[in-house]
Amino acid sequence: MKVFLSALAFVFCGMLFSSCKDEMTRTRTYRAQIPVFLTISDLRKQTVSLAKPRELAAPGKIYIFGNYLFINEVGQGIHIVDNSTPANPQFLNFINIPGNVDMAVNNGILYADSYVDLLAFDITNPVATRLVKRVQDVFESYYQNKQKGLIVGTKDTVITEVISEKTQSWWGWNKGGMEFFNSAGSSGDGGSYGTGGSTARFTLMNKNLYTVDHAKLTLFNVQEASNPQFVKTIALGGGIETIFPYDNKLFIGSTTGMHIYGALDASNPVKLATYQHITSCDPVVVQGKYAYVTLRSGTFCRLGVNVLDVLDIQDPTKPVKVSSFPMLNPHGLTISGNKLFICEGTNGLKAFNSSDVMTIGEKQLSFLKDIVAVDVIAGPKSLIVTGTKGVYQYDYSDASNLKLLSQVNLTIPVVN
Amino acid sequence: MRNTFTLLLVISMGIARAQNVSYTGQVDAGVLIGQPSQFSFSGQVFNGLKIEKWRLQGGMTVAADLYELMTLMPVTATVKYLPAVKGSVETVASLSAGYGLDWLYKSKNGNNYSGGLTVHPTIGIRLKSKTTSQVNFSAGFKHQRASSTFVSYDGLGRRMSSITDNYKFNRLTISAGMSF
Repeated sequence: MKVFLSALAFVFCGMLFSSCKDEMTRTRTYRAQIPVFLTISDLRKQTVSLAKPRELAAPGKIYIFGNYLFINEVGQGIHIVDNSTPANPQFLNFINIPGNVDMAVNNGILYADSYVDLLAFDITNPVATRLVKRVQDVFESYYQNKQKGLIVGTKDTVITEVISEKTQSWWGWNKGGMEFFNSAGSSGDGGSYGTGGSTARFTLMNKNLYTVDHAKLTLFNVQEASNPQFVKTIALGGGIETIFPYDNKLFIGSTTGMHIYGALDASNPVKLATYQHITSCDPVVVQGKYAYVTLRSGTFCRLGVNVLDVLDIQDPTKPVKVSSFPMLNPHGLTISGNKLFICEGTNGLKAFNSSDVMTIGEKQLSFLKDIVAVDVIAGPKSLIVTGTKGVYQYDYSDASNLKLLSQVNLTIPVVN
Repeated sequence: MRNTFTLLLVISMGIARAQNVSYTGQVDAGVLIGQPSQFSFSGQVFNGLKIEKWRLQGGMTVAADLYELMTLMPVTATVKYLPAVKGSVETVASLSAGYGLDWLYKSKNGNNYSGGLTVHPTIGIRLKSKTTSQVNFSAGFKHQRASSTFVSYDGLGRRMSSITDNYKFNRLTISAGMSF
């Protein structure tokens, strides 16, 4: 018994002096956009090259030209996809373009941004794509210091931090995720141009390439497709997000409203009107007498609402809202005939009958809930939907019964 | 594997028969005390066999530990040794080792919880009574591992961050109960 009591005393003393403190090791892993500073001279020395096809990781804008589908890999370049058979798209190659976000195609010439420069590629033979022109210093918002030629980009990085604590109490620790957001989408249509999505920042109309950044409209004359010429920039105010061309007019979506610019004189667009709405993200498409605008709340649109607004634009100087329908979290949209398709982000993709603009919301034809849909293009052969989990193509001949033709899954940088 | 299991079963039955093995059980309730001012409740049930000749008991313990952060259900293998008797007081040393299950507390507020290794040595006394049951008092140290994970997504459903907390609960345990 004495031995036992001694052991008991020893254990208690040990407990008291070794301290019964809880321990915690916190491992925090998150994806972050790390600023990367480059000099423009170094950037231009980097080879803009054609590489072997690579896996999709972070797709941005999409663009259709003929049988080809172009998918932007945000900040890195463009996938060229032979989409002759939507049920079996073939990735042909990848153009390495540092800092690329948007694109447009005109007569076999692909225009793409590369930080502050506009590049033109001859894609008449997509497997032998080559750079034919670089227009320098036209997207100046990327400059951190123009005199020193310093630009700032971002690098998608997964960061892991380990924090060890011998803690008294951790109930007060906040566990909150960091939210980052990359938009996605593509550009305009017409003539020999390609077709982009409703979230495009590049578009073509009347032999001009129009690009928007967050505050400016930049014009390029592309009469000679392989030799784009910078024309001028027009200040638009802040919060510019998208541009959509229709009937010699440019419909420019911003976080506070939709601007309509007349472009009868293609190199000299004139502001016709602004349709104001509350702060919200708003892609826009136009068909006939109506403009269809989706407004959504989100990371950068905190005051936003989630609705589809239909505007009568017969008098482009006085756009009038004719109807509005609640949505879940609308992103890109497209219209084909009397079929309106709206991406609902993580909620999926909806199809509506748009023959009567007063009752669109009541005429939902289908709702695909098992995909993440960010932008959509109604192409000649298929409905192309991009999202954060893949690129999907559907047969939309019967919008009430969308049939999946193909699916390309993404290799998203994983945060464990 | 089947042959090995059969062999072990036969040997165990042989030992049990030879050593006069009988069933034993114990129910305890107590507290888990940590520094500074960490205090939570715990309860456990032990079921096993005892070999009188060797003063040994062995079996399985199922517990419920109500930590401030989560509730865990340790399922452990337990060995008890009763080395000395003085009058109606018997000393007991016990060691339990196993795994804390998260069945009672899987997720809350976006956190997903999971258990882990648990080790629980104790020493105590057993007071004999006029019936077949005894009253037990014990103190010990419990080391329990667990983790919680919180994942955040962006507006498009992309997994953007995760926070994994790995905990090591180190607690003084004091409990009382009945054994049979």
